[in-house]
Amino acid sequence: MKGAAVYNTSHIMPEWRIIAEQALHILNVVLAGYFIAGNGTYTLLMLMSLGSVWVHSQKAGREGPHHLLESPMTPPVTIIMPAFNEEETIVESVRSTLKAEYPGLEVLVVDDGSTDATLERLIAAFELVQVDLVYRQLLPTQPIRAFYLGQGRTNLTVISKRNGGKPDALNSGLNLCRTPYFCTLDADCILERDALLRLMRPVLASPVSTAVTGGVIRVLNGCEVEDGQVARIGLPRKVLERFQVVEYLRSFLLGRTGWDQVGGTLIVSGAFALFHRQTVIEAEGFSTDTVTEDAELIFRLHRWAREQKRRLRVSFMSDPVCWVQCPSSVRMLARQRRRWQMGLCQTLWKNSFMHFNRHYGVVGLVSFPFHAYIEALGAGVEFIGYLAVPLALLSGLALPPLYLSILILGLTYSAFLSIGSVVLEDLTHRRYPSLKDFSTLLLYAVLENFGYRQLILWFRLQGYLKFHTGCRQWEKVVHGAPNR
Amino acid sequence: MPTVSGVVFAVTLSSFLASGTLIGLALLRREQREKHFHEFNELRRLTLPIISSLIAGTLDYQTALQALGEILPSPPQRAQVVERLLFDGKNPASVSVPLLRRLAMDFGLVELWEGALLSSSRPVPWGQPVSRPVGALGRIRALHFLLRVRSAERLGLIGHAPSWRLLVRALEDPHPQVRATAALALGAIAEPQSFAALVERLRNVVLTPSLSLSMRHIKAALVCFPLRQASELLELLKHSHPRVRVLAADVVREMVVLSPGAGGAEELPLLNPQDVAPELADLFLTRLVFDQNPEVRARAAPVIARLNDPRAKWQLVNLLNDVQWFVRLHAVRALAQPRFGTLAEHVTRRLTDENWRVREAAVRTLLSFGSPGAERLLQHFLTTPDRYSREQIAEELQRRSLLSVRPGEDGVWGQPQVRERLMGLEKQNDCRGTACRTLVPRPSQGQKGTASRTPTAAEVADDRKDSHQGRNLPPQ
Repeated sequence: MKGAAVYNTSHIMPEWRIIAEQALHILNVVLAGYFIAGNGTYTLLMLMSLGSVWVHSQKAGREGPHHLLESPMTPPVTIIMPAFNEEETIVESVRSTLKAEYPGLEVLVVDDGSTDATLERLIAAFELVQVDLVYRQLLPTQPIRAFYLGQGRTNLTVISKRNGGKPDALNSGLNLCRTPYFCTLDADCILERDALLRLMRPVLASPVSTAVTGGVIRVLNGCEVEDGQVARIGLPRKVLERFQVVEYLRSFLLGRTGWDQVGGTLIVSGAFALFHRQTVIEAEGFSTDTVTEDAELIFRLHRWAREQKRRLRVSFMSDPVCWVQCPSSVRMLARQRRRWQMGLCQTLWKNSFMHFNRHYGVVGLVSFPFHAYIEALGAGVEFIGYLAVPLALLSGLALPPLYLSILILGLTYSAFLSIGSVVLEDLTHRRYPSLKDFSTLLLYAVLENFGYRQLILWFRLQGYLKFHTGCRQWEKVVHGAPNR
Repeated sequence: MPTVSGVVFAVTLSSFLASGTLIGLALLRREQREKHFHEFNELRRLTLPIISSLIAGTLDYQTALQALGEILPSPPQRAQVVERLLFDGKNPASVSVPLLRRLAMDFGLVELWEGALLSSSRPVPWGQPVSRPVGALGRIRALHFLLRVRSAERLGLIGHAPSWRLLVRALEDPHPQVRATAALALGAIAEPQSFAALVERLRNVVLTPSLSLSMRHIKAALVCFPLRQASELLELLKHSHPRVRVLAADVVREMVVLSPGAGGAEELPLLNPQDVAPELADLFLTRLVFDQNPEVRARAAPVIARLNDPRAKWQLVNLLNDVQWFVRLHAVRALAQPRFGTLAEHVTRRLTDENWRVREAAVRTLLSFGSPGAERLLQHFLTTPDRYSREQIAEELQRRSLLSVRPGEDGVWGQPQVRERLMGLEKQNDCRGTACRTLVPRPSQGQKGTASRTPTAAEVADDRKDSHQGRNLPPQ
């Protein structure tokens, strides 16, 4: 018996190997499923985006939004710019914002308790005078320290308040805002002159009340800024920044446009978005319990509209452009992506009842599950997928058939989607007209899958883990000043 | 398994091929665009001096037309080139509308646009490069609506009045964007006969919501017509559906606001019977001012304020005491003209209104009455026990003083008894948020004002209650 037992055990695999190989088989199936669901959805989004962006560029590119400048139906707008330690960029940004072409434009800068010279620079540059204004706290915020008005300039107001984070600063601005619509704009942004008019278009054109409209964010690094406007568009020099140019194109032109086509918009960048003031106030403003207050507000507005039995629209436009400095170091990029991932997880968790909830239509049945399983949990799946290869090789385990093929296919397909977004940009908006820039973008669309994608995945995983630890820390991303 | 591996291989290969195709398409389009714009820029270089001379009046029209005809390509493409030269981008931006219209007619553009509106697609030869947008659009039936949109827009731009029937017909177009553009074009042309069609659409927007036509577009078109046509809205103003009445009243209000003489003038001219039909004026003064729907009453106020009728003042006083705060708000705002100075007492009562927006409007209206209004404001400021009212006055004066003279240094604010009273108020800290302190003359502080005090919890609750009254109300 003893001999037989020895004989048997020497010819069968150890138990851990059996389990490990079965796990690899399961992982193989999960990876294939992840690939089909993720890339399948992206392909559909790309096809819809190709059509809609092209049609829109045909229409919008020729008509221009300038008739809205004179239209009596164009409602006034307040731009709310929260600023925390933005001494490098704030003056240029405010100057650019004040030049925006819009009838009845007001600019409200909220200094969120900066510890640098943000406020002093504003006071000096715009000859601000301290005044007392009536502050009605419709939404709770940190205490206000002072109000400033631009001397001889009626449309610039600055609020100085105790630090409370970006959502708190936005709520302060919202308390003082008087116009029916407001636009949130990050303090390191350069707004194109007609961007706000373009952003207002769906509000005026839609028969349904439009609560939110999002615009496109583009990378400012590498561009030259003159007199508060982008004077020459160029690609950044740093490799890391170039990858982000491709990433932003894919995200805004391909992803968000596609979701807008099916009415499934769940994420609008708060760096540049237009909101209906009364709707946001009734939905209780920007929440301070997540680190991505913009996405959280969109989820909440969908919920609020459902509860109030109101029809409202969240739309996205592919032609209003706002230029933003992207992180130029790995450290800052890591901070940004950790925050985005953590915020996404927080928001999805907070609104988990929308998950496969038919009452929310496309948002509940398609968009929410996509963001939950592909955008949030997908980071973990992809990471384990990569990790399994070296682990299997080291431990002598045989990878399931097609495992590597699926991984390679995933990367190839991802490159195809990135190339698609670069081509879409070139066929429609053409902000990078030189052939050299176009070729460079195509090259980076391929290269980003070999190193950069995995780096971002690592940061996303960190964000995911931070969410699980209950962390709510807002990691500040410091940007350099734009080229002048 | 071989089948699955085959699929994986096929998808990988397809993604390579698709990427290559996309890149090839982009490069091809780049090349064609470059060629096209090179040709186009050359034509622009040649034609621009002629068009500039035409605008400047140094070249007569027939000579210019002949010169342009010699430069431009033969007829099938000529119209497209002229269209791009005249209407795309900013060149030549200064061409006057009559000249633009004449050129568009003589080069056959109007005919082309009218044809497109009638859905008769343009003949686009397949050999024409796809880089030419007209060519690309003409080939795909699903995109024909873009041609119709463009045609409607351009007919509106040149103000081609004979096209109004076609544009009215386009209000029934299957595509919503064509309907919207046609409405705006009708507004731009402002042909009196088309007003009725737009009025009909306005009614249908409310009564048939499935039309999915933006109300703003119809309104934007209607308000472009001269005010005398507003009498055609009488039927809608008497309609049993409250929303129809609101929309119609809003259109009349906007027409009054945009009427000649209203552009930024301090004292808006009164409207006479030749501007507003007596029947319409009567309807506002006798019926709409008492309408069951407060939104109609609110919209009636600015119209009544411009009527040359002795009843107008007293109906506005009625509206000042309306139960709905936004009706009072519109009434207070409508009175912001020096001729209503005699109603200052009624406006002063609104300084203690329960809604802050009405209080704010009352301050502004009193200031618009000139010195008597400012005196009244000061008296109220010094005597009222209502601190909310005081802070509202303080804020408005601060905002205004930034652009001119600081209060407390000049005029009535500098009088000794006033200064004394202001000092007293400051000592008592009886101005919430210390807003009132700014009014106290303190030359030593120079330009610097005072810091805000954070409101107490009770004040915040009070404010929230106050502001919540504004919920579910129409946007101002």
